[in-house]
Amino acid sequence: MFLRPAPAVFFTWLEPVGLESLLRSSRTFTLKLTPFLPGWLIYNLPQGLWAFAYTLIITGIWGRHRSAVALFWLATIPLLTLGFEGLQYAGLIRGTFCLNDMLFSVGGIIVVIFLESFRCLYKNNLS
Amino acid sequence: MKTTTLNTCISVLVLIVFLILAFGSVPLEELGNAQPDRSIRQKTNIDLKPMYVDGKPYVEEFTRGTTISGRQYTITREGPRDRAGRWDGMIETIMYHYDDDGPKTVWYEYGKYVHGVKHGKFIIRDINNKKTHLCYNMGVLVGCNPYDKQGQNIPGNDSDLSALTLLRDQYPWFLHAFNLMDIGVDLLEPYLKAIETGIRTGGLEIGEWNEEQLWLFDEAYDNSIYELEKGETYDQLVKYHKVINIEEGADIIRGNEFRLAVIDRHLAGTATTYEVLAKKYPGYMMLMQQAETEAGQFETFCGLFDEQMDMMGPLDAGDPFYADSLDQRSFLALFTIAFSEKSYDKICPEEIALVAAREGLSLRNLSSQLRSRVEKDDGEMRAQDFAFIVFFWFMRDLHKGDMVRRAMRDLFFMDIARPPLVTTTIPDTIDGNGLTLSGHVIGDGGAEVTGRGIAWDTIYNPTIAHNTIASGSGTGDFTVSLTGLTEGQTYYARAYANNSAGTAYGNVVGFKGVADTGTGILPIEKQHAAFTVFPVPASDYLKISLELTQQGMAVISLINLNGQVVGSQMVEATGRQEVIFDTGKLRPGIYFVRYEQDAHRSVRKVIIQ
Repeated sequence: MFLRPAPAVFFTWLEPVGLESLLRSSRTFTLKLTPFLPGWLIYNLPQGLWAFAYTLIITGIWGRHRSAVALFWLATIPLLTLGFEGLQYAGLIRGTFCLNDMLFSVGGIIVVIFLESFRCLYKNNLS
Repeated sequence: MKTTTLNTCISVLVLIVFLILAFGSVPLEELGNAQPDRSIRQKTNIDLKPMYVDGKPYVEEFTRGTTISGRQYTITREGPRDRAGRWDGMIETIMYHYDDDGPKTVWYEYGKYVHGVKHGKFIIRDINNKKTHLCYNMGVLVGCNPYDKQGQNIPGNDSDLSALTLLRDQYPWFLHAFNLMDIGVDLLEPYLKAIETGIRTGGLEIGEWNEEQLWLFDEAYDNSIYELEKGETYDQLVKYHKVINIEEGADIIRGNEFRLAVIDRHLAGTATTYEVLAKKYPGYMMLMQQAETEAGQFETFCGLFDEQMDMMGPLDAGDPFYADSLDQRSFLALFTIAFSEKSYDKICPEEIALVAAREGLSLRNLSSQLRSRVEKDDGEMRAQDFAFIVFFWFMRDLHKGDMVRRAMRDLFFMDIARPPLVTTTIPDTIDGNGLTLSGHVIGDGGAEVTGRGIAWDTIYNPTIAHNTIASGSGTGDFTVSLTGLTEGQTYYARAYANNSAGTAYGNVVGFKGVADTGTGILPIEKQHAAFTVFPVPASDYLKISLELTQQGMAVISLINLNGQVVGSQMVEATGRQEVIFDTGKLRPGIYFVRYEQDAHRSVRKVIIQ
């Protein structure tokens, strides 16, 4: 949002609430940092964090449920995170397929699985 | 059950937020250097569905590379382009009209372009598959008979002239563009008459050919079009007319000197845009002076513009879409400065009219808007104002693509002497003493051509205020020789001719001194083969496509950062060639592809991952 050269599309959606100009003026300063930062941090890490956050929230809500609805929502994690890249690869949605984005997405999901496993292990040890 | 419903609601909300976040980001690749399609084919579709801003139709929607259902026409162009993204080489143009039976070719054209303008004999096939020829001399339509090189639009040589006959004779492709939208002569003739009447109603009186009169004519023409668009009879036709202008005008925009300076700066990788403009494009600096701006403030604007461009990171100069990517970035930087509250990304030259319409700008009130920017109470011009002015010069170029305007102007200035019509021939001969440059005075403009020759200097678009070599008078071909030029220095030249109405210039040509021929010089156009590298970055292989223009052995080498040649291949033939290097076993990093032929050498950076 603050480091990519191209302004995000959803900036325009923030216009009605008066946040667009604030974000845009912030970018004037943050964009100056981009030449000093590695490419993966600007372009791939956000994808990984996006996948990580979505996985964390959905597993937080449905992780302990055993039902078809829970399975459906858990299934949206790989479908959504990897599906985007798949659709871009097929040229069905806007954007360019990027293998690094996919790897970071998988990484985000794996981190949540690890955290969840550690949490369960910790809870079991306590009980 | 309650918990499941609540969780589902929360999950749906989360999903929506995450989808917004996912769709909301525009990948850099879309903006810049990694275009998904690396072919050089450019396909342009124009949708005829009008768009609305504040309830008013403002311009036809323009989209690229997508198939749009419904009534539409498509112009497809294919062929090589020069470093500035202008058509350069043998180009095929096809205009389609889509109807219920599918696409129908209404105009086929094949011929040579030089730096974005038509030059030479073009093969034409019309909607009835009738084959004809049209011949051009650096963008000017001329007779195809070698003994009939005169332009066809000579004042007073046809008693039955009208805007329609001028359009038909001088700009036939423009007339066909109307035809392919089902706008025949029966509709076009009254439309042109209505424009003409509108201009005459405005009380325009043509006295002589000068800048002020041309400006007044443009204003009267734009007012006439504006009135027709407001009315009910020709409002739709005006919209179609605007779409046709976009296609033609975008080619002219690609020759805009500010744009060329931005490309030069990025290819050189050192100077600022202001320095390039001041050194190489003084004509543009004069435009700024005419707008009564201060050079120091313009320099500040250029600095801000460069800063915006640099923030977007480097671009691969070997990418076939390098100029397009640079255009997108330039317009993004320009519009960010000019209209800081709006988001404009992925703008190409064809879409400038769209941005102008969104901002409520038009050429019709250009002078008043420019004046309001320049004549401020505090007298201080801001970067935003300069961005505005730069944008307006782009707009003006776009409107030069309106051939109806040109035909109408020819009609109104019919009995007025105007500067001659002149072109410069691309130089291709070298001898021991120097270079031979040729010019051609196609038309006398209705007055005797009293002088002609070649203007040359180290700047782009030199004028008679710089170096000149005179060569007689009257219409026809003439030739001059340039000698004693500095080795390695880039020079520009263009033919000029003058009559009582003023001085006219032909197209500019560039050439360069060559080290091994002493005083001899070699045209830039013939200096070396054009080559492109694919893919970038490369992994398993690296393919180099060359367009060899000269006979002889050419060596293509792949060199690492230490200067070691890690691969080398030889090519011996003219025309299109391909060389493939196996890069699978090379260490990832930066390499250089070097092309050598005789004394000519060209190097391009590549990344192997």
